[in-house]
Amino acid sequence: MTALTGKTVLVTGATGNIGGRLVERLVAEHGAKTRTLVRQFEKGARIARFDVEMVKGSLEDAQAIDAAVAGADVVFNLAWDFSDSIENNLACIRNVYEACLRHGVSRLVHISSIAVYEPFEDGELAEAMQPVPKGFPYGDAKIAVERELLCMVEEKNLPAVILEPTNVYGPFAGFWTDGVVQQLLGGGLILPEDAKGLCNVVYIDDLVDAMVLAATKPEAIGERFIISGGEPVPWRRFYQAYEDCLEIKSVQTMPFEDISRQKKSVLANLKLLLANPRRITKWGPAAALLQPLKRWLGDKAKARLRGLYAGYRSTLAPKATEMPEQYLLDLYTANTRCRIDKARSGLGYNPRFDFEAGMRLTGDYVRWAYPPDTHPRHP
Amino acid sequence: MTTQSDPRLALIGCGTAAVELHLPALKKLAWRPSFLIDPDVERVAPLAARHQSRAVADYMDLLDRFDVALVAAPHSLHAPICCDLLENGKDVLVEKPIAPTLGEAKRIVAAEEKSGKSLRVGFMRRYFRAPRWVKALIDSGGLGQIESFDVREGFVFSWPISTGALWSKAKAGGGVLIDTGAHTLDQIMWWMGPIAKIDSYKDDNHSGVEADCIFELTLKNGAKGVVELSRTRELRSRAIIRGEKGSVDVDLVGLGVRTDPAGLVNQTFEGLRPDNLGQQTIYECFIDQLADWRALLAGEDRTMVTSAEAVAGVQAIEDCYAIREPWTFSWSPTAGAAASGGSVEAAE
Repeated sequence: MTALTGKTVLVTGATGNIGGRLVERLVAEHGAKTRTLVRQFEKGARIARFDVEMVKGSLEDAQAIDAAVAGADVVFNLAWDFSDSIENNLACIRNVYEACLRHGVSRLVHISSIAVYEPFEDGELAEAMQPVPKGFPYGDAKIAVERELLCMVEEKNLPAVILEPTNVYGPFAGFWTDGVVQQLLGGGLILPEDAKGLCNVVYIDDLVDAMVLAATKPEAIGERFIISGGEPVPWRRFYQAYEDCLEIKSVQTMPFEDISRQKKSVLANLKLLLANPRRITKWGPAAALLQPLKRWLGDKAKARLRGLYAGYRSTLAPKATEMPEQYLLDLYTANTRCRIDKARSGLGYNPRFDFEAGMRLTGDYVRWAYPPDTHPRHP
Repeated sequence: MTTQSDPRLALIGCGTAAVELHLPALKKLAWRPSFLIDPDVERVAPLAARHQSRAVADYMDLLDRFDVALVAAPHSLHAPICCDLLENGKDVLVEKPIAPTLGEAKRIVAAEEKSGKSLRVGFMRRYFRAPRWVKALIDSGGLGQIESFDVREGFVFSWPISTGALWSKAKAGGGVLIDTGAHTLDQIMWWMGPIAKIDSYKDDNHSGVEADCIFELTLKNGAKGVVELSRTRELRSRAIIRGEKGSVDVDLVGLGVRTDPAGLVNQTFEGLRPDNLGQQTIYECFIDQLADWRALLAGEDRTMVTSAEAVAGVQAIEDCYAIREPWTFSWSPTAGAAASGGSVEAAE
């Protein structure tokens, strides 16, 4: 029996990496009546293992959100469109909080990101630092949404709490687990050999613990909390842990200057593009063209295109060794320690998994999810 | 254009399979469906217009206006729909699985026997050239007595489904086992013969439908095997079949074949050899299947999966679920106390 047992809980973004884990634990450990807002049914395999209600809709659909929020005690908002503009992400969060206010929801837990503080500076990072937009689309959109929510807390007594997780890893954790594994298996990755940066990570279950605490602690309302694991780890050690799980060597190091030179080389970029045509989406002008096209296409057509692409190229196909993106280079070189004192005192948050413990379970997952006979270089 | 002799066709259930595969395949065969039947007439009407057909909510209003039906509705509706159709004198092609439970599958078989009409089940994988070549190799005795097999099939589910029916135990009857597994089990039995016993079965279902499962089984010929299925992981999606004279490693959906000894691939069966299989898509398999069905309806001799054959697969699925054990991992939610010293089972 926990504070969420028997409560009706809505999770947006439930088919995502963190949302899927939250749903599992809400049902299996907390016995919460769990409802999910699902934009694309095809992504529902993991949450369908549980007795959860799936309401079709997206955050852009005010009517669907209203129906999903009706009767909910707690709303966890994890849905996010990375490719969308600040204005559209703001319109989406307005749909969510207006429905929460209309239906008297007792708590809205919004998952933001540590990216609101990027680019990181060396030293300690805590919530006292006010996030300021710096021209990064993702971080700036997250900041705009945070500000809007905090404003609503002041003006309308919106019972919202904001969590700012660091890099989330663990079973099915997406970018910092499956993304890393797929890159290591497919083509390897490159680290600056003089990187002094620290990787601030949080095991997925620690984040879920923090989300549950944020849903139940009265004093948490109106606050932002950085959620991270215990101590940060050097980047080399972070990637080394995955290499150890997979029993491969796939990380190369290179002087920072060489990486910068390679990134500017037209020939090198052309080779990468030929090896992975999807990289075109990372090129500014192409991205600007694709964004309205994606909105126009709709979810169904996008799913069909994804299916075609998957048929053409498996996620485990051999890849080119990628030069790190600029934001990764910034991360690799930032010697930043994210503090969790506020989460400890304000939420009672106490991470259960240091990096070794988290990686033990993550390693079990990696070996199960990526058996050797699926590795691209398997004979 | 539909010819005078083509039977009047009703396509029942217009979800993603109908939109993405059946309708394009019918168009390729110039077999225009007279009716597209789906409770969501509003959604289906534009589709019907594109295919010069009519969208209608209920086939019972139209029984005198079509001759045969292709059923692609949610699994739980297969038995009631197929029985209605057979009892009203219609020939039927129903998508796999024939039904979610053995009782319902047997009810369909009984209705078929009583009606004198035919019911065939859509197992389009039988049209892939590589599995067909393997079937011929095994039948020829090229592998000798089959001793064991190892089948792993998985992909991160991305089929653009339009409803949540596949995620509902009530509508789908189960998860990856009843969906993908219906195909896999059919291939195993088609290649190597009937199943004697399901020896063990584990899945990750909690209170919904499983996304991952693994089971061991023994065939009546004594061969033992393991099958692993996933909707969350990209597994190798191949079958390895070992016999006393050699082994074969074949794509379940595709054209790859490897043998040991390597020389086995030099054999030609029905004009097929692993090095001349050409290109082939799932869509082409659907075309071949529908072409066979049309020929069968016209009285030609065609081999398609019968209801009685399909029942064996449903029996195996039901046997799996009957002995189900939970597939738990060190990271499973109930093992959340791992970091503080809780007892956990190592991942397999």
